[in-house]
Amino acid sequence: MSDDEQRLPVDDLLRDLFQAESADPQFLAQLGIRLDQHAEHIAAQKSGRPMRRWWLGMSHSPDAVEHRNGYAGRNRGTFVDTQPVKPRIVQRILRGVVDIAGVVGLLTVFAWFILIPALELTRPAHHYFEPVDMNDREVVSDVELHQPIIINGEKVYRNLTLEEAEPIAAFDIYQPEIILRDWWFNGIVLSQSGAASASFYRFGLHGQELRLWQVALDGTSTEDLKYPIGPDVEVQTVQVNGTIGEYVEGDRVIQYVIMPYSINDELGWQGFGIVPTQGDKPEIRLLRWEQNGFLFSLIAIGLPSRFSDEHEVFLDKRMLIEIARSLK
Amino acid sequence: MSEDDHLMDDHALAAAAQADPRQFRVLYERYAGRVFGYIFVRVHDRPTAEDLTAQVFLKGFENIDRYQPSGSFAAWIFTIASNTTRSYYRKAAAQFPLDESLDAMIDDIDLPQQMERREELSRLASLVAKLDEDRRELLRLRYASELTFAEIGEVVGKTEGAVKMALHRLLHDLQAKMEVRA
Repeated sequence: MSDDEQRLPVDDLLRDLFQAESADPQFLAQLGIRLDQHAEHIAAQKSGRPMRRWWLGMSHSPDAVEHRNGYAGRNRGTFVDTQPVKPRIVQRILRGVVDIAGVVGLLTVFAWFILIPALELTRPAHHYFEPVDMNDREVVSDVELHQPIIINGEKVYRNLTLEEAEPIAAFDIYQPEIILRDWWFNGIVLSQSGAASASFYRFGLHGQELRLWQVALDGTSTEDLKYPIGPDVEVQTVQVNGTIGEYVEGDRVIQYVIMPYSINDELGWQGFGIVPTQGDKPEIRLLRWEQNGFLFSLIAIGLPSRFSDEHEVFLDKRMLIEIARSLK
Repeated sequence: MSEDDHLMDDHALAAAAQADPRQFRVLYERYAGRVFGYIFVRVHDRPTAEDLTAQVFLKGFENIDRYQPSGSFAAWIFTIASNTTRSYYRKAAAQFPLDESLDAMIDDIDLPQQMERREELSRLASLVAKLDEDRRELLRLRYASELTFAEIGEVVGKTEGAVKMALHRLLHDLQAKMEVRA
Protein backbone atom coordinates (compact mmCIF):
# COMPACT_ATOMS: atom_id res chain seq x y z
CA MET A 1 0.00 0.00 0.00
CA SER A 2 1.37 3.35 -0.91
CA ASP A 3 0.15 6.88 -0.45
CA ASP A 4 -1.12 6.93 -3.95
CA GLU A 5 -2.46 3.39 -4.00
CA GLN A 6 -5.89 2.92 -5.49
CA ARG A 7 -8.40 3.78 -2.87
CA LEU A 8 -10.96 1.42 -1.48
CA PRO A 9 -14.53 2.66 -1.00
CA VAL A 10 -14.00 2.48 2.72
CA ASP A 11 -11.13 4.92 2.31
CA ASP A 12 -13.46 7.73 1.29
CA LEU A 13 -15.89 6.81 4.01
CA LEU A 14 -13.13 7.01 6.62
CA ARG A 15 -12.10 10.38 5.29
CA ASP A 16 -15.64 11.66 5.68
CA LEU A 17 -15.92 10.09 9.10
CA PHE A 18 -12.73 11.57 10.49
CA GLN A 19 -12.84 14.97 8.86
CA ALA A 20 -16.35 15.92 9.79
CA GLU A 21 -15.38 18.82 12.01
CA SER A 22 -13.11 21.71 11.27
CA ALA A 23 -11.68 24.24 13.66
CA ASP A 24 -13.46 27.51 14.26
CA PRO A 25 -11.48 30.18 12.34
CA GLN A 26 -12.07 32.65 15.14
CA PHE A 27 -10.57 30.24 17.65
CA LEU A 28 -7.55 29.65 15.43
CA ALA A 29 -7.03 33.37 14.97
CA GLN A 30 -7.26 34.09 18.66
CA LEU A 31 -4.89 31.27 19.53
CA GLY A 32 -2.49 32.59 16.91
CA ILE A 33 -2.60 36.04 18.50
CA ARG A 34 -1.94 34.45 21.84
CA LEU A 35 1.11 32.64 20.53
CA ASP A 36 2.32 35.88 18.96
CA GLN A 37 2.08 37.62 22.31
CA HIS A 38 3.94 34.77 23.93
CA ALA A 39 6.60 34.92 21.22
CA GLU A 40 6.99 38.65 21.71
CA HIS A 41 7.46 38.03 25.38
CA ILE A 42 10.19 35.47 24.75
CA ALA A 43 11.84 37.65 22.12
CA ALA A 44 11.86 40.58 24.52
CA GLN A 45 13.39 38.36 27.15
CA LYS A 46 16.14 37.28 24.79
CA SER A 47 16.88 40.82 23.67
CA GLY A 48 16.88 42.15 27.22
CA ARG A 49 14.07 44.60 26.57
CA PRO A 50 11.71 45.49 29.42
CA MET A 51 8.89 43.02 29.69
CA ARG A 52 6.38 41.63 32.03
CA ARG A 53 7.99 39.29 34.45
CA TRP A 54 6.78 36.35 36.39
CA TRP A 55 7.80 35.54 39.87
CA LEU A 56 8.59 32.68 42.22
CA GLY A 57 6.40 29.67 41.95
CA MET A 58 5.48 30.32 38.34
CA SER A 59 7.57 28.27 36.02
CA HIS A 60 5.91 29.70 32.94
CA SER A 61 4.82 33.06 31.77
CA PRO A 62 1.34 34.31 32.65
CA ASP A 63 0.31 33.48 29.13
CA ALA A 64 1.46 29.93 29.51
CA VAL A 65 -0.27 29.53 32.81
CA GLU A 66 -3.45 30.90 31.37
CA HIS A 67 -3.30 28.45 28.51
CA ARG A 68 -2.45 25.59 30.78
CA ASN A 69 -5.40 26.37 32.98
CA GLY A 70 -7.67 25.89 30.08
CA TYR A 71 -8.38 27.72 26.94
CA ALA A 72 -11.55 29.72 27.19
CA GLY A 73 -10.59 32.47 24.85
CA ARG A 74 -13.71 32.40 22.82
CA ASN A 75 -15.75 33.45 25.78
CA ARG A 76 -13.27 35.96 27.06
CA GLY A 77 -13.48 38.31 24.13
CA THR A 78 -10.30 40.15 23.36
CA PHE A 79 -6.96 38.84 24.53
CA VAL A 80 -5.56 42.27 25.12
CA ASP A 81 -4.13 42.44 28.60
CA THR A 82 -5.97 45.31 30.24
CA GLN A 83 -4.55 44.88 33.73
CA PRO A 84 -1.92 47.37 34.78
CA VAL A 85 1.48 45.75 35.10
CA LYS A 86 2.41 47.07 38.53
CA PRO A 87 -0.41 45.47 40.53
CA ARG A 88 0.28 42.13 38.91
CA ILE A 89 3.93 42.34 39.84
CA VAL A 90 2.96 43.14 43.42
CA GLN A 91 0.58 40.21 43.39
CA ARG A 92 3.35 37.92 42.24
CA ILE A 93 5.75 39.22 44.84
CA LEU A 94 3.12 38.61 47.49
CA ARG A 95 2.46 35.18 46.08
CA GLY A 96 6.18 34.42 46.22
CA VAL A 97 6.33 35.58 49.83
CA VAL A 98 3.32 33.43 50.67
CA ASP A 99 4.95 30.47 48.91
CA ILE A 100 8.17 30.88 50.87
CA ALA A 101 6.30 31.35 54.14
CA GLY A 102 4.33 28.21 53.42
CA VAL A 103 7.44 26.17 52.78
CA VAL A 104 9.14 27.51 55.92
CA GLY A 105 6.01 26.74 57.91
CA LEU A 106 5.86 23.19 56.64
CA LEU A 107 9.52 22.63 57.38
CA THR A 108 9.06 24.03 60.88
CA VAL A 109 6.09 21.79 61.55
CA PHE A 110 8.03 18.83 60.19
CA ALA A 111 11.08 19.60 62.33
CA TRP A 112 9.11 20.41 65.48
CA PHE A 113 6.62 17.59 65.45
CA ILE A 114 8.46 14.82 63.60
CA LEU A 115 12.19 15.30 63.21
CA ILE A 116 13.12 16.56 66.67
CA PRO A 117 10.90 14.06 68.55
CA ALA A 118 12.28 11.28 66.37
CA LEU A 119 15.83 12.26 67.20
CA GLU A 120 14.93 12.45 70.87
CA LEU A 121 13.40 9.01 70.84
CA THR A 122 16.30 7.42 69.03
CA ARG A 123 18.86 8.92 71.34
CA PRO A 124 19.95 6.28 73.83
CA ALA A 125 21.05 8.82 76.43
CA HIS A 126 17.55 10.22 76.50
CA HIS A 127 16.48 7.48 78.87
CA TYR A 128 19.08 8.36 81.45
CA PHE A 129 18.19 12.01 81.94
CA GLU A 130 15.46 13.63 83.94
CA PRO A 131 14.50 17.30 84.29
CA VAL A 132 15.86 18.93 87.38
CA ASP A 133 15.02 22.13 89.24
CA MET A 134 17.95 22.93 91.47
CA ASN A 135 15.79 25.12 93.68
CA ASP A 136 13.95 22.01 94.78
CA ARG A 137 16.99 19.82 95.25
CA GLU A 138 18.29 19.20 98.71
CA VAL A 139 21.86 18.46 99.45
CA VAL A 140 22.55 14.83 100.15
CA SER A 141 25.62 14.58 102.29
CA ASP A 142 26.67 12.72 105.38
CA VAL A 143 28.55 15.76 106.61
CA GLU A 144 26.92 19.00 107.69
CA LEU A 145 29.28 21.67 106.45
CA HIS A 146 27.23 24.78 106.00
CA GLN A 147 29.65 27.05 107.79
CA PRO A 148 32.34 28.55 105.58
CA ILE A 149 35.95 27.68 106.08
CA ILE A 150 38.81 30.05 105.40
CA ILE A 151 41.50 28.80 103.11
CA ASN A 152 44.41 31.12 102.54
CA GLY A 153 42.17 34.02 103.52
CA GLU A 154 39.53 32.91 101.11
CA LYS A 155 36.04 32.08 102.43
CA VAL A 156 34.83 28.77 101.08
CA TYR A 157 31.31 27.37 101.51
CA ARG A 158 30.54 23.74 101.03
CA ASN A 159 27.44 21.65 100.51
CA LEU A 160 25.16 24.60 99.81
CA THR A 161 21.84 24.39 98.12
CA LEU A 162 21.25 26.68 95.20
CA GLU A 163 18.92 28.75 97.37
CA GLU A 164 21.73 29.16 99.90
CA ALA A 165 24.43 29.81 97.35
CA GLU A 166 22.73 32.42 95.18
CA PRO A 167 22.64 35.24 97.79
CA ILE A 168 26.29 34.66 98.59
CA ALA A 169 27.65 34.37 95.10
CA ALA A 170 28.75 37.50 93.35
CA PHE A 171 27.43 36.16 90.05
CA ASP A 172 24.50 34.20 88.67
CA ILE A 173 25.02 30.51 89.23
CA TYR A 174 24.14 28.46 86.19
CA GLN A 175 22.16 25.32 86.77
CA PRO A 176 21.53 22.31 84.58
CA GLU A 177 17.99 21.61 83.49
CA ILE A 178 18.64 17.91 83.16
CA ILE A 179 20.68 15.50 85.19
CA LEU A 180 21.06 11.77 85.22
CA ARG A 181 18.11 10.04 86.73
CA ASP A 182 18.43 9.15 90.41
CA TRP A 183 21.71 10.99 90.85
CA TRP A 184 21.95 12.80 94.11
CA PHE A 185 22.88 16.43 94.58
CA ASN A 186 25.98 16.72 96.71
CA GLY A 187 25.88 20.46 97.14
CA ILE A 188 27.56 23.54 95.81
CA VAL A 189 31.03 24.55 96.80
CA LEU A 190 31.31 28.29 96.62
CA SER A 191 34.49 30.19 97.12
CA GLN A 192 34.59 33.86 97.94
CA SER A 193 36.88 34.47 95.04
CA GLY A 194 34.10 33.74 92.69
CA ALA A 195 34.37 30.11 91.80
CA ALA A 196 31.27 27.95 92.08
CA SER A 197 31.02 24.23 91.84
CA ALA A 198 27.99 22.01 91.80
CA SER A 199 28.69 18.36 92.05
CA PHE A 200 26.35 15.50 91.44
CA TYR A 201 26.96 11.90 92.17
CA ARG A 202 25.07 8.70 92.56
CA PHE A 203 25.82 6.43 95.42
CA GLY A 204 26.65 2.98 94.33
CA LEU A 205 29.23 0.31 94.32
CA HIS A 206 30.79 1.73 91.20
CA GLY A 207 29.70 5.33 91.57
CA GLN A 208 30.46 8.04 89.11
CA GLU A 209 30.64 11.68 89.92
CA LEU A 210 29.87 14.72 87.90
CA ARG A 211 31.33 18.10 88.78
CA LEU A 212 30.30 21.33 87.24
CA TRP A 213 32.75 24.15 87.69
CA GLN A 214 31.67 27.64 86.85
CA VAL A 215 34.45 30.20 87.25
CA ALA A 216 33.92 33.91 86.74
CA LEU A 217 36.82 35.05 84.61
CA ASP A 218 37.00 38.64 85.85
CA GLY A 219 40.20 39.23 83.97
CA THR A 220 41.81 36.18 85.46
CA SER A 221 43.96 34.20 83.16
CA THR A 222 41.98 31.25 81.91
CA GLU A 223 44.98 29.01 82.04
CA ASP A 224 45.33 29.52 85.78
CA LEU A 225 41.78 28.30 86.35
CA LYS A 226 41.83 25.19 84.26
CA TYR A 227 42.42 21.78 85.59
CA PRO A 228 45.87 20.74 84.54
CA ILE A 229 45.71 18.30 81.68
CA GLY A 230 48.25 15.56 81.64
CA PRO A 231 50.99 15.35 79.06
CA ASP A 232 50.42 13.62 75.74
CA VAL A 233 46.65 13.93 76.03
CA GLU A 234 44.71 14.40 72.83
CA VAL A 235 42.47 17.46 73.12
CA GLN A 236 39.32 17.27 70.98
CA THR A 237 37.64 20.40 69.75
CA VAL A 238 33.87 20.43 70.30
CA GLN A 239 31.13 22.94 69.75
CA VAL A 240 29.29 23.79 72.94
CA ASN A 241 26.50 26.34 73.12
CA GLY A 242 27.76 28.19 70.09
CA THR A 243 31.36 28.33 71.29
CA ILE A 244 34.38 26.15 70.71
CA GLY A 245 35.29 24.01 73.66
CA GLU A 246 37.71 21.25 74.56
CA TYR A 247 37.08 17.65 75.44
CA VAL A 248 39.56 15.17 76.82
CA GLU A 249 39.15 11.68 78.16
CA GLY A 250 41.41 9.04 79.57
CA ASP A 251 42.85 7.70 82.75
CA ARG A 252 45.32 10.50 83.38
CA VAL A 253 43.92 13.36 81.38
CA ILE A 254 43.85 15.65 84.40
CA GLN A 255 46.51 15.37 86.99
CA TYR A 256 44.37 16.07 90.03
CA VAL A 257 40.96 17.27 91.16
CA ILE A 258 40.88 20.21 93.52
CA MET A 259 38.65 19.96 96.56
CA PRO A 260 38.58 22.04 99.75
CA TYR A 261 39.23 20.10 102.88
CA SER A 262 39.35 20.67 106.63
CA ILE A 263 40.84 17.97 108.67
CA ASN A 264 41.82 18.45 112.29
CA ASP A 265 41.63 22.19 111.92
CA GLU A 266 43.85 22.00 108.90
CA LEU A 267 42.31 23.76 105.96
CA GLY A 268 43.39 23.72 102.36
CA TRP A 269 42.77 22.88 98.75
CA GLN A 270 43.56 19.29 98.15
CA GLY A 271 44.64 17.82 94.90
CA PHE A 272 43.25 14.31 94.58
CA GLY A 273 45.39 12.18 92.42
CA ILE A 274 43.73 10.21 89.67
CA VAL A 275 44.21 6.49 89.98
CA PRO A 276 44.75 4.75 86.67
CA THR A 277 42.17 2.08 85.96
CA GLN A 278 42.02 -0.89 83.71
CA GLY A 279 39.34 -1.27 81.07
CA ASP A 280 38.08 0.16 77.84
CA LYS A 281 36.32 3.16 79.36
CA PRO A 282 38.16 6.33 80.34
CA GLU A 283 38.19 7.15 84.01
CA ILE A 284 38.00 10.90 83.44
CA ARG A 285 35.94 12.84 80.91
CA LEU A 286 36.40 16.57 80.88
CA LEU A 287 34.47 19.09 78.80
CA ARG A 288 35.25 22.77 79.17
CA TRP A 289 34.38 25.93 77.37
CA GLU A 290 34.03 29.67 77.91
CA GLN A 291 30.63 31.26 77.78
CA ASN A 292 29.24 34.65 78.88
CA GLY A 293 32.31 35.56 80.89
CA PHE A 294 32.65 32.24 82.65
CA LEU A 295 34.84 29.22 82.28
CA PHE A 296 32.72 26.10 82.58
CA SER A 297 34.15 22.66 83.24
CA LEU A 298 32.08 19.50 83.33
CA ILE A 299 34.04 16.64 84.75
CA ALA A 300 32.81 13.09 84.91
CA ILE A 301 34.81 10.84 87.16
CA GLY A 302 34.48 7.16 87.70
CA LEU A 303 33.45 3.94 86.07
CA PRO A 304 30.01 3.09 84.71
CA SER A 305 27.32 2.64 87.28
CA ARG A 306 24.52 0.12 87.16
CA PHE A 307 20.90 0.72 87.89
CA SER A 308 18.81 -1.96 89.47
CA ASP A 309 17.81 -3.21 86.05
CA GLU A 310 21.49 -3.77 85.30
CA HIS A 311 21.52 -1.27 82.45
CA GLU A 312 24.91 0.24 82.24
CA VAL A 313 25.09 4.02 82.49
CA PHE A 314 28.26 5.69 81.36
CA LEU A 315 28.41 9.46 81.51
CA ASP A 316 30.13 9.97 78.18
CA LYS A 317 31.05 12.87 75.93
CA ARG A 318 27.66 13.11 74.29
CA MET A 319 25.86 13.15 77.62
CA LEU A 320 28.21 15.81 78.94
CA ILE A 321 27.44 17.97 75.93
CA GLU A 322 23.72 17.50 76.53
CA ILE A 323 24.05 18.61 80.11
CA ALA A 324 26.17 21.54 78.99
CA ARG A 325 23.46 22.57 76.53
CA SER A 326 20.89 22.52 79.31
CA LEU A 327 22.78 24.99 81.47
CA LYS A 328 20.73 28.09 82.13
CA MET B 1 5.01 21.48 -3.43
CA SER B 2 6.27 17.90 -3.13
CA GLU B 3 6.37 16.04 0.15
CA ASP B 4 10.15 16.44 0.32
CA ASP B 5 9.84 20.15 -0.35
CA HIS B 6 7.20 20.33 2.33
CA LEU B 7 9.45 18.56 4.82
CA MET B 8 12.39 20.81 4.00
CA ASP B 9 10.12 23.76 4.36
CA ASP B 10 9.01 22.52 7.77
CA HIS B 11 12.60 22.03 8.83
CA ALA B 12 13.51 25.52 7.72
CA LEU B 13 10.53 26.99 9.51
CA ALA B 14 11.31 25.06 12.68
CA ALA B 15 14.91 26.23 12.53
CA ALA B 16 13.69 29.78 12.09
CA ALA B 17 11.34 29.37 15.07
CA GLN B 18 14.21 28.06 17.16
CA ALA B 19 16.12 31.24 16.38
CA ASP B 20 13.15 33.57 16.61
CA PRO B 21 10.03 32.36 18.48
CA ARG B 22 7.84 34.69 16.42
CA GLN B 23 8.42 32.45 13.40
CA PHE B 24 6.53 29.65 15.12
CA ARG B 25 3.33 31.31 13.95
CA VAL B 26 3.82 29.98 10.41
CA LEU B 27 4.05 26.40 11.62
CA TYR B 28 1.03 26.97 13.78
CA GLU B 29 -1.04 28.18 10.85
CA ARG B 30 0.05 25.20 8.83
CA TYR B 31 -0.92 22.56 11.37
CA ALA B 32 -3.49 24.07 13.72
CA GLY B 33 -6.51 22.90 11.76
CA ARG B 34 -5.25 19.36 11.40
CA VAL B 35 -4.28 19.11 15.05
CA PHE B 36 -7.71 20.34 16.04
CA GLY B 37 -9.34 17.77 13.77
CA TYR B 38 -7.24 14.96 15.17
CA ILE B 39 -8.11 15.92 18.73
CA PHE B 40 -11.75 16.49 17.97
CA VAL B 41 -12.30 12.95 16.73
CA ARG B 42 -10.93 11.72 20.01
CA VAL B 43 -12.89 13.95 22.38
CA HIS B 44 -15.84 15.03 20.25
CA ASP B 45 -16.28 18.13 22.32
CA ARG B 46 -15.41 21.42 20.69
CA PRO B 47 -14.41 23.43 23.80
CA THR B 48 -12.28 20.54 25.04
CA ALA B 49 -10.71 20.09 21.62
CA GLU B 50 -9.90 23.79 21.48
CA ASP B 51 -8.44 23.69 24.96
CA LEU B 52 -6.24 20.71 24.10
CA THR B 53 -5.24 22.26 20.77
CA ALA B 54 -4.08 25.36 22.59
CA GLN B 55 -2.09 23.19 24.99
CA VAL B 56 -0.47 21.31 22.11
CA PHE B 57 0.79 24.43 20.39
CA LEU B 58 1.87 26.01 23.63
CA LYS B 59 3.94 22.90 24.39
CA GLY B 60 5.27 22.93 20.85
CA PHE B 61 6.18 26.58 21.18
CA GLU B 62 7.93 26.09 24.51
CA ASN B 63 9.80 23.01 23.35
CA ILE B 64 10.69 24.00 19.83
CA ASP B 65 14.36 23.97 20.80
CA ARG B 66 14.06 20.23 21.35
CA TYR B 67 12.79 19.56 17.86
CA GLN B 68 15.32 17.61 15.84
CA PRO B 69 15.29 18.06 12.06
CA SER B 70 15.99 14.33 11.68
CA GLY B 71 12.25 13.80 11.98
CA SER B 72 9.31 15.58 10.44
CA PHE B 73 7.72 18.50 12.22
CA ALA B 74 4.27 17.08 11.51
CA ALA B 75 5.13 13.86 13.33
CA TRP B 76 6.62 15.87 16.18
CA ILE B 77 3.58 18.08 16.71
CA PHE B 78 1.15 15.17 16.37
CA THR B 79 3.16 13.20 18.89
CA ILE B 80 2.60 16.07 21.29
CA ALA B 81 -1.08 16.07 20.36
CA SER B 82 -1.36 12.33 20.94
CA ASN B 83 0.36 12.54 24.32
CA THR B 84 -1.65 15.57 25.38
CA THR B 85 -4.92 13.90 24.55
CA ARG B 86 -3.88 10.70 26.27
CA SER B 87 -2.88 12.70 29.31
CA TYR B 88 -6.23 14.43 29.27
CA TYR B 89 -8.02 11.11 29.40
CA ARG B 90 -5.74 9.83 32.09
CA LYS B 91 -6.40 12.87 34.26
CA ALA B 92 -10.09 12.69 33.60
CA ALA B 93 -9.95 9.00 34.49
CA ALA B 94 -12.48 8.35 31.80
CA GLN B 95 -12.18 6.67 28.46
CA PHE B 96 -14.37 8.52 26.07
CA PRO B 97 -16.60 6.03 24.26
CA LEU B 98 -15.43 6.37 20.70
CA ASP B 99 -18.44 4.74 19.14
CA GLU B 100 -20.68 7.39 20.65
CA SER B 101 -18.38 10.13 19.48
CA LEU B 102 -18.34 8.83 15.95
CA ASP B 103 -22.08 8.34 15.88
CA ALA B 104 -22.51 11.83 17.14
CA MET B 105 -20.14 13.06 14.46
CA ILE B 106 -22.24 11.49 11.80
CA ASP B 107 -25.14 13.61 12.93
CA ASP B 108 -22.99 16.67 12.45
CA ILE B 109 -21.72 15.75 9.01
CA ASP B 110 -22.83 18.14 6.38
CA LEU B 111 -23.40 15.47 3.81
CA PRO B 112 -25.59 15.38 0.80
CA GLN B 113 -28.76 14.23 2.39
CA GLN B 114 -28.41 10.69 1.28
CA MET B 115 -29.74 8.17 3.68
CA GLU B 116 -27.62 5.41 2.21
CA ARG B 117 -24.43 7.35 2.86
CA ARG B 118 -25.42 8.06 6.42
CA GLU B 119 -26.13 4.39 7.00
CA GLU B 120 -22.76 3.43 5.57
CA LEU B 121 -21.01 5.86 7.83
CA SER B 122 -22.94 4.62 10.81
CA ARG B 123 -21.95 1.04 10.05
CA LEU B 124 -18.34 2.07 9.59
CA ALA B 125 -18.37 4.01 12.85
CA SER B 126 -19.64 0.91 14.58
CA LEU B 127 -16.84 -1.18 13.10
CA VAL B 128 -14.18 1.37 13.98
CA ALA B 129 -15.48 1.54 17.53
CA LYS B 130 -14.78 -2.17 17.91
CA LEU B 131 -11.14 -1.81 16.90
CA ASP B 132 -8.42 -1.69 19.50
CA GLU B 133 -6.94 1.68 20.42
CA ASP B 134 -3.76 1.18 18.38
CA ARG B 135 -5.70 0.64 15.17
CA ARG B 136 -8.06 3.51 15.86
CA GLU B 137 -5.00 5.71 16.39
CA LEU B 138 -3.66 4.65 13.00
CA LEU B 139 -6.93 5.70 11.39
CA ARG B 140 -7.00 9.01 13.20
CA LEU B 141 -3.46 9.84 12.23
CA ARG B 142 -4.12 8.86 8.65
CA TYR B 143 -7.54 10.38 8.05
CA ALA B 144 -7.95 13.14 10.62
CA SER B 145 -4.33 14.26 10.69
CA GLU B 146 -3.51 13.40 7.08
CA LEU B 147 -0.03 12.26 7.97
CA THR B 148 2.12 10.22 5.63
CA PHE B 149 2.97 6.64 6.52
CA ALA B 150 6.45 7.70 7.51
CA GLU B 151 5.09 10.43 9.78
CA ILE B 152 2.60 8.04 11.34
CA GLY B 153 5.48 5.67 11.95
CA GLU B 154 7.33 8.40 13.83
CA VAL B 155 4.33 9.08 16.02
CA VAL B 156 3.54 5.49 16.92
CA GLY B 157 7.11 4.26 16.94
CA LYS B 158 6.96 1.92 13.97
CA THR B 159 8.63 1.78 10.61
CA GLU B 160 6.99 3.25 7.56
CA GLY B 161 6.61 -0.22 6.09
CA ALA B 162 4.96 -1.59 9.21
CA VAL B 163 2.47 1.27 9.26
CA LYS B 164 1.74 0.84 5.58
CA MET B 165 1.12 -2.86 6.02
CA ALA B 166 -1.02 -2.40 9.10
CA LEU B 167 -3.22 0.17 7.43
CA HIS B 168 -3.45 -1.91 4.29
CA ARG B 169 -4.76 -4.88 6.25
CA LEU B 170 -7.01 -2.73 8.36
CA LEU B 171 -8.66 -1.05 5.41
CA HIS B 172 -9.19 -4.31 3.56
CA ASP B 173 -10.62 -5.83 6.70
CA LEU B 174 -13.01 -2.92 7.18
CA GLN B 175 -13.94 -3.02 3.51
CA ALA B 176 -14.71 -6.71 3.70
CA LYS B 177 -16.86 -6.27 6.78
CA MET B 178 -18.70 -3.38 5.24
CA GLU B 179 -19.49 -5.49 2.20
CA VAL B 180 -20.65 -8.43 4.28
CA ARG B 181 -22.92 -6.30 6.40
CA ALA B 182 -24.29 -4.57 3.37
